[in-house]
Amino acid sequence: MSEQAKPANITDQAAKGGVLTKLILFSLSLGIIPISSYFLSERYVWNGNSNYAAITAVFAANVVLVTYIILSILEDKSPASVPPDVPKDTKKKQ
Amino acid sequence: MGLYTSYYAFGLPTFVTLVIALYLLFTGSGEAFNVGRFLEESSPYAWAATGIGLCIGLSVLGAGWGIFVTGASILGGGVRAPRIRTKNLISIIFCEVVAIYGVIIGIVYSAKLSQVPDTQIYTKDNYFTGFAIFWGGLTVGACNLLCGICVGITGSTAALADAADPNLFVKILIVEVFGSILGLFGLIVGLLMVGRTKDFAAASP
Repeated sequence: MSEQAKPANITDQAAKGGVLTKLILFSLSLGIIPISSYFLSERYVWNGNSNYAAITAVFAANVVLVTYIILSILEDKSPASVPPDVPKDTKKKQ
Repeated sequence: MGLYTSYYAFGLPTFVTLVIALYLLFTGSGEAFNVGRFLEESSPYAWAATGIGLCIGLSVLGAGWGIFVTGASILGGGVRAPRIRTKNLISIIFCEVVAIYGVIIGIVYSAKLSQVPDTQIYTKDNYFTGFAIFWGGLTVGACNLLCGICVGITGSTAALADAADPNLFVKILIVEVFGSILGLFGLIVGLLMVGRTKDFAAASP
């Protein structure tokens, strides 16, 4: 394993946990939720007015986007307590 | 070598166009170049379908460009600093939202294409619908193209800055939010342009 990746791998252990699952879920919902909200709101809410339905779909897409941002920032704040100890020990030994 | 390339790139098409124009002029059929007749005789279906294609095509071009620029930076920076990998996916999602805007407008516009026989399609309302969808699609596509490039390059630099100093990421995210609003502007204008168009309808006899 290359020298550059060694300190990175130590800190990597904490950050696994379902990141790929979350990303796939959000990508699918970013595709499905706006399009479905466009068609459903056009038929059942706005009585065929396609402009209002498009605005609803844009709003839904932005809601998904903001949800992803909030979840990412929250997830980023909670861990990060365990990893920084290990590289400092290896540095001190050298 | 570079000089001759520009001669061929700019000189040859200009020369060919000039020869054709002068030939038409001097053989008495100068009125064959008729912009008004072109606009009247080209089908509104052609205009509308081209507009929808440009809308989604240019939007996806912008989103894809942004995603590959940002993705390359995230992967490169993630070798030494793996903590940036998950948080910087926000930039990728911003670029993808631009493509979603293009899809929404494509769906709204394509709902206006209905089936009319070609002898009855040349009415005033159909001309308006065809032109409005063409230029609306081009507007939305160009806005989303530039928005995607903007968010992509900003996101790429955000990834590298985050790898160096984690405090910078939230500040650069504000720049990306402003860039993402550009795509929204294009979408609003695109919806306004086709706000009063009717679907394609047969001419009433």
